[in-house]
Amino acid sequence: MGVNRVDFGGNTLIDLTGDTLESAEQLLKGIIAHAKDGSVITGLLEAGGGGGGDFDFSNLADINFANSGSFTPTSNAASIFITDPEFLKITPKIFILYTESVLTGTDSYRTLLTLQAHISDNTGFVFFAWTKGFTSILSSVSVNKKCFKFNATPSYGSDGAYLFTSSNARLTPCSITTAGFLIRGCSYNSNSTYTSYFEEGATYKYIYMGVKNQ
Amino acid sequence: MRYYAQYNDTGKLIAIGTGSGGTEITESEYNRLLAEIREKAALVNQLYNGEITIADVPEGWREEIQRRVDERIAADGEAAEQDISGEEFLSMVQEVL
Repeated sequence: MGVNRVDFGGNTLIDLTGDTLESAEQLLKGIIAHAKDGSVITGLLEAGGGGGGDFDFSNLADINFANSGSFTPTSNAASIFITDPEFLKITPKIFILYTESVLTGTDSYRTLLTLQAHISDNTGFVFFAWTKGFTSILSSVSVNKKCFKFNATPSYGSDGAYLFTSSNARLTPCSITTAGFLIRGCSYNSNSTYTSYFEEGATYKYIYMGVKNQ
Repeated sequence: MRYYAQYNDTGKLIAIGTGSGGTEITESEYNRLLAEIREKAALVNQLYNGEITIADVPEGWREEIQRRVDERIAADGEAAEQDISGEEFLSMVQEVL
């Protein structure tokens, strides 16, 4: 049995009771440490498996549905509506939108471009996500081919995802009546207005995952 | 893999893709459309940047390419315009006066 507190002569020499490390799953694989109960544990957490920076994996355990696709718009003003009957049967948890195409960014609209994923289902909620800053998008998409990952945890004020409902919607929810979701590439200008703007000829790929009711 | 084409209400092709959505097409049709979309996008960029003239565009595509370049130029103009409040405008006028 482990020892998690040592008192000597009225003084506390060691006290692990207030620590937060409780199990091997919280510790990187191979790292040896004492848990809060004093036991020695060897970490089991795979690097990259749960330590993904601002991405919270803790609410994804129930995911049992995933689908993917791609689209190539013919003009730079396209909103893409993806019809998928299965989408109505799931609660979306993750939406990933990325492109491996080189975005040219040659005009003033594109210098203000943000990538948005604007997803709506028939129940009226909108799962809405974006990344901020065109420079970072350009470098990470076209050079590093990084995926943009969003979860459904509201994180107002930073890159991330927003879960909008009728009570906190900042944009009018889509009036979509067909099973599916809408993806919009949007620019943002100084007037706080949004304009659909995917780049023509660039191929965008998406993955969505969620919990499907059995 | 499923390939599709997506059209707007007027029947204009707005995107092609893979996965769910749109009207199913064959892989060869998808590849043909993909090549055409990318070729036109490149021409729009080149004409917009002054690297080519409209005479360098295949005759059957000239109207569309020119229209898309014009739309981009118009969009640039809109992006450069900024609404200002009456108070800001008054302040600007007062500075000039």
